[in-house]
Amino acid sequence: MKRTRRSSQVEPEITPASLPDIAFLLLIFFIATTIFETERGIPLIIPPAGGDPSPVNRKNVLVINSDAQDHIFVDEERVTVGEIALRVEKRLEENDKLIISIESHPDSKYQTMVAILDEVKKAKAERISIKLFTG
Amino acid sequence: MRFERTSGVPSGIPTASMADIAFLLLIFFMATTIFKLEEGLVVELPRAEMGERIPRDKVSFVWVDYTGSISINDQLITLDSIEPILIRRLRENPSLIVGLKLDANIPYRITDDVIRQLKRAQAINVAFAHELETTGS
Repeated sequence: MKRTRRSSQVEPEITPASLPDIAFLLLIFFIATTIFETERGIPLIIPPAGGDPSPVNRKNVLVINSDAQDHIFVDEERVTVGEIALRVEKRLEENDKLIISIESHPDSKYQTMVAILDEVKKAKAERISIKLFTG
Repeated sequence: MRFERTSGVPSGIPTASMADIAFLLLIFFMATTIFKLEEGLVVELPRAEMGERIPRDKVSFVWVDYTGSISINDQLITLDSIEPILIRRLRENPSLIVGLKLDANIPYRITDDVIRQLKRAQAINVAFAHELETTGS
């Protein structure tokens, strides 16, 4: 049996006319799914457990603490969040070895602790410690 | 005095380069797209200003939501299992940063418990994730 020949004279080809359509379709997909990186965090290095805490002079420690109602105290004196940075800056000028100890009340909000940490970072303090309840 | 235009070229924007423009944009978006790897929990992050960008390839997030549920890598876990999970991850990547995605309204005692777990796992690089504060005050 003889094979029948195709009689069509049309050259097969892929039409490039739909190329922009494909490109735009993919483009829309990627625009819609793109999330730009917005993760931000306050970095802090915490000492690992088991390390021997070295004793520090009480004079070199500035305590910032909060109570259960989220009131903030710098060295026992009540302050607003916005005042912390200024006070820490002033104390750092007097004593560059100053360690900032953040002592939060167990019932205070996490937001308060982060707000204090933020303010302390604004004052460019480098020695920051977060006091834990035990160990 | 009147001038007559002699040019017979019809005005129009050439559409031949449209595909090129589309592909250019396409390549840009393809290169910058990051697919979300982790769903996490629904948390209202605390607001702060001084945070830095957390490099995505180095960070492992710990999520704690308002109810106190803890999640790492989309798995709900108990407080005590944070330590072994982080030890394993630190072995794979010693320069790991632990990102804490804690709800702003949880009491500090939960934060304290989590930090103590990090200390035990020797995870010393911590980042307290936050939203950027919109300064209106």
